[in-house]
Amino acid sequence: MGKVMTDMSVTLDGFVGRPDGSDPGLHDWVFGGNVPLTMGGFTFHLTSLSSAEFFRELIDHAGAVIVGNGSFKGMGEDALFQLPTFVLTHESRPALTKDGVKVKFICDGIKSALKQAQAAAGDKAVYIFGGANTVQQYLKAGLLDEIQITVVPMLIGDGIRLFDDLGAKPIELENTQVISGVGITHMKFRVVK
Amino acid sequence: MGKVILDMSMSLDGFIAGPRGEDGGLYNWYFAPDEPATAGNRKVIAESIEDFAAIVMGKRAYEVGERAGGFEDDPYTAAHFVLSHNVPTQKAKGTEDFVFVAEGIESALEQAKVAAGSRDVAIGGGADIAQQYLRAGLIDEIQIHLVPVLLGEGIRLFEYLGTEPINMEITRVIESPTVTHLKYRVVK
Repeated sequence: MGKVMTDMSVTLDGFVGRPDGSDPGLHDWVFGGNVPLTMGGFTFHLTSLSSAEFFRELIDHAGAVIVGNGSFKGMGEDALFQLPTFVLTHESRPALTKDGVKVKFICDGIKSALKQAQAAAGDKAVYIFGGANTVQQYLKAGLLDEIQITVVPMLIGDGIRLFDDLGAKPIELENTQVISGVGITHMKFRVVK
Repeated sequence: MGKVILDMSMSLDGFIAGPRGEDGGLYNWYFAPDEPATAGNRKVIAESIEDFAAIVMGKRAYEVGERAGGFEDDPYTAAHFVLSHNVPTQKAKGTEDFVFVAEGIESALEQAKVAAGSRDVAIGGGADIAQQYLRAGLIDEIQIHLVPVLLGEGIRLFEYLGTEPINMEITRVIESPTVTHLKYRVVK
């Protein structure tokens, strides 16, 4: 079975968005550069070759995506990266098909979503796409295997924290890789279980 | 003139200590730099000993350091300035001299800069002192020793900073198995 991983861009002070959820420029490294990368039916513009390689590998390894309802709506209700997408929600909705890719709405919790996503992903990884609250739920349940963080060098003072409400029990990680992009730092960690 | 550097170890979730001020293993890389073999860690430590000519710290950071005997075999040949409203009656153990500054962060920094000359001033914590200097726009560089652990609870480094964004440029990354040293220049 594939790994369960997440990849999030954060400010140095730990935020994935401003208090109103807007993006202070955390994803400029994916969209604001001049290194084109076409994947999943979309062309991204990364700010360096190393970031393009990091991003390509991430999408290559993923076989299914789990996303919270808020993030799903924020992304325009698309199948992310043309991968089977599982949306965590409280209201049941019939499954959608977007460009031939299934989007399922899961009302019975994060474990059920993971089970279904893993079945869809086969040997490939399940990618927890966010938001912060969804990542926290998987972390707290001990279900995440790998964490990828892109640290963006800004302090925004307030917003939505990625690592919040995790409880008092420390979660040990292991550094596995650091990749420097232009102005940003990609870091990979393995969760020690 | 030297630079003013905020230099702190931090967990991936942004804490510089646990809820009761315990270090949560965040300084293991510093106290055992040879294990596992990490030339990067040794370089970062040697550099700070060479560059930091003055260290400004808060009263609590001073007290924690003193209780732990942290100033007894202190390798730094730096002038120490402690922000405190009163001067302790007992001298700290060790060879370091401490200047207690009651007039606030700007006065402490001015005195530290004079003492440091062309070398650097390190802001050594705690979090509230770091935040005061950041808010006042007095930090030139930030070096974070990022430790791969999620402590879940504790004392956050970057908090109460207000909503005016502070932009930075990354100037150096040094990797090691147990910590990643990230150095930033504050864009003013």
